[in-house]
Order: sequence, then structure tokens, then C-alpha cells
Amino acid sequence: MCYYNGQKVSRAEFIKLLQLEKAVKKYDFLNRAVHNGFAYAPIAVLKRDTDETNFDIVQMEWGFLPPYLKNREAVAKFRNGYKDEQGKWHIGYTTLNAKAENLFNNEKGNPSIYADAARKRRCLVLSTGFYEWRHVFPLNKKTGQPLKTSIKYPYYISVKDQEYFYMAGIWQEWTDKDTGETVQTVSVTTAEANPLMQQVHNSKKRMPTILNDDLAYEWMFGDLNDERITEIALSQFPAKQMDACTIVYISEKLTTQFRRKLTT
Amino acid sequence: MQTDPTFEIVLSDITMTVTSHFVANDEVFRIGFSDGRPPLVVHEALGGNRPFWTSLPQGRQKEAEFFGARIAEYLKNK
Repeated sequence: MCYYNGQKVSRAEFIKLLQLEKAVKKYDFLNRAVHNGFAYAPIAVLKRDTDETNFDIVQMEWGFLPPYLKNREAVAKFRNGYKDEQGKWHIGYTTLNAKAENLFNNEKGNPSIYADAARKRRCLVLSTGFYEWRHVFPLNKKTGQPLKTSIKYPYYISVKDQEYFYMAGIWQEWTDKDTGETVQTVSVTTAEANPLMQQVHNSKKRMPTILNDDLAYEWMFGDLNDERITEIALSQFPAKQMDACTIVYISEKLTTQFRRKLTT
Repeated sequence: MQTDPTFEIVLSDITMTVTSHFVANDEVFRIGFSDGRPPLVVHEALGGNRPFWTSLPQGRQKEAEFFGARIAEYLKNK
């Protein structure tokens, strides 16, 4: 018998724990299979270094935060919406993605919260692939008409023969004025879906702006005017260079024990 | 690799932000805390055929037992 953390364990368990301890030390907790945007977790981003001649790989919080938000409470209200003292509901804003068409002016024609970042703080979000839902409306057996509620099928989309690729992003530093905590936040720009993505993401018909190497370089280092920035953000990556396949959806409700069984 | 979306467990005076990961063919949980203490990595190990929660690396056993139990409770009731 041995002791680990004051607990009596078998020699085999002790060795396993030491090996696990070693592996955990080296493990990068960003190395995750799936980034759920709504978890607002850190993602890997390339951004210009201070000399603006090279780039740094950094972690940023996914979900662009405008600097005027005072603290995390204001962030939660901004993201999730809230009811004010008069009982009036204020809607929340999702800033995981920024529509390329609205980088400088929002849909109401007012200056966009993204404008300054689009001009001064463009970056590249690294990805190996992303997930999107395809909505299929089954037919009513009696009437033959599509049902009102769809069945959602998850798809995994990647770029052929590329281990990873670049998505256009814009970033913004945000400081919590209560705690002094400063984070860099990022939004991925989106363009109209190409023919492949129109089939997969058939509800919104949008896709992230995927950039080839030349456009990625220009996006990050180019001295660009607003028209060119919009043009690049709107560019559609060719469908024939992309792969999409259906995947099995594994419920979050898997228990610890069941997940352990899956790996043994 | 991270296996599930991040989840939050709200206790009376602290919120845990938990992610689960497979490391070296085993499952570990990384916990971030709202009170600013350092993140904690916990694992459910076997001691004499009885599972117990331990911190990785060693040194934060009390916290591992307490917060590990909260994770087990959360996953069981999901």
C-alpha cells in the first residue's frame, strides 16, 4: 500500500496517479475537443505583436465586449438580457460573431461597436473545424406538409487537407472596473454561406469568414480601408475546398461512470 | 482533450466553473473559482476499492474532496 494525498491506495493506483500528475502538468487546458461559444471560454488567436511586424499566439475570451461595460454583472446583462426596475425586458447581445456587413454600421445604420476593432485590431482565430446544425423539417404523415418544428442534425465542417485554418476575427481589450481584471475578447466575422454551408447551416445561411494564407496575412498586417476590410470579411471560402459530415451527438448527461466505461 | 461543455456549480458563497478533460486516458476535472483562488485539478481515484477525490498534484486534498463531491453530485442530478 502507498499513500497519495494522505489516502491509502494500491501500488498500481499510486503509479497511475503519479503518471496522471505528470500528464496534467504538461496538459494544455485549451486543448479541448469542442469550443461551445456560449461558454465564453478562451480560444487561441493570432494577433499582431507590439512592433506590428510579427504575430503572437494568445488566448482570448470568445465573445467581444465593448469597453463601456463596467463589470461582470454588466457583461452578464449585456449577454443574457435583463429586466429593469420598471419590469421592462432588455434583450441580450451575442457577440461571438460579427456580421461582415455590419462591421462599421449596425443594422439600424448607427456606428457599430465593432468599427474601431475592425480598423485597428484585426486578428486570426485558429480552428481545426467547427460544428453547425442542419435543420430538417419532417413531413406530417397525414397532410404531407412540413412540421413546424425541425429535427437538428450536427455537422462537423473542416477544410480539406489542412490540419487547421484561419477565421477572421476582431478583438477588444476589456477591463472590469470593479476588480481591475483585463481580458482580450474576440469575435469571429461571418459572411454569407457558400453552397456547402447553405445546405448545412440552412436556418441562418451564414458561415465564419475562412481566409486563405494570402488573405489571412492581408487581414492581419494590411493597411486597409473600410471597403477592403469589408470585402475580405465578406469573402466566401470555396465550398469545394471544404468537408462536411454528420456526427453523433453525445449528450452532456453522460455520467462520470459511463464516460469512464467508454474509455476502458 | 476537453470532453464536455463547461458547467457552473453555484454554492452558497462561491461559484465553480468546471471543465472535464481526458488526460493520459483518464478523466480529470479542472475547477476555476469565483473567489480568485488558484484553479484546482481533481480526479476520482480508487483507494482500497473505494473511490475518493484527490487533487493533482497532491497538496489540496481537503478542497479536492469537497469540490469533487459537488461535481459528482452535479453530474448525478443532471
